[in-house]
Amino acid sequence: MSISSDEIANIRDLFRDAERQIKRAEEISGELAIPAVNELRYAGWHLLEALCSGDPDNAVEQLARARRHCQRAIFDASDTSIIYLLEKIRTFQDDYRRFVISDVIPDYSILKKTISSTRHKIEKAREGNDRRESYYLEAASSVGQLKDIGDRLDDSREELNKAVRRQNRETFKFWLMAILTAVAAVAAVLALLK
Amino acid sequence: MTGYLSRLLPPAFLHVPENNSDRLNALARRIVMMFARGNYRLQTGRYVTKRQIDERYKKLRDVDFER
Repeated sequence: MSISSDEIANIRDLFRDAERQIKRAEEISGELAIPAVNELRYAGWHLLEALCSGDPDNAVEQLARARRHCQRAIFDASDTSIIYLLEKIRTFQDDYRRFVISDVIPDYSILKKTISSTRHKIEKAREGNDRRESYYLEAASSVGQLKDIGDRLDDSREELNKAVRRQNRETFKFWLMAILTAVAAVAAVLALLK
Repeated sequence: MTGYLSRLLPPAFLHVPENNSDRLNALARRIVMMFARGNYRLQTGRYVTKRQIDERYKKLRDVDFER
């Protein structure tokens, strides 16, 4: 067996995708994902080993390794983005835990299901080290989905804050009335006792 | 003896030492920032390691997003 140009082209495409995912993770989280960068480093090494190898079988094996490292790089970069986005969503849920969010975002329960299923997918992929290669495409597509959800939740913050303030005003009115009623009742009882 | 005596003293707030691994991580980050060239994120210490990602993930594992 010898090195096929298709295989090299395939690795080039995967390498490019991995770089895109790393950039995306940087944009989303503001941090450089070191595990993904390391995977690309290993991919580069195996690629060079394949090109310099005199043994065709070894070259093919080295290319396969380079491909797997690229796939893992895509997964690791996506994983970094997903974890950051899940943290952001958790902060959102904590901020509005005592408020009915679906009043402002009608399809919130559907969004929650998507978030939960993404978390389960990533959990499954993280169970074994070799699984990262098989889940890299799914993980990459989940980033887009979660990013959209995160952006939507962020956009609704203003509307939710307005609704929370409205509810707080209602609560204030309720307690004011309750206290005034109690004071009036006590005053009435005292007046009757005199 | 000192054990008995220390029980007679009024309670006082003690200094909680920082976790050693946290201090080492902070030191490593400072070194990276000092020597990194050509990458803005590394120069500013904005990078995330495997251990940090795993720690973040661990915290998220028990979160019920469907509550």
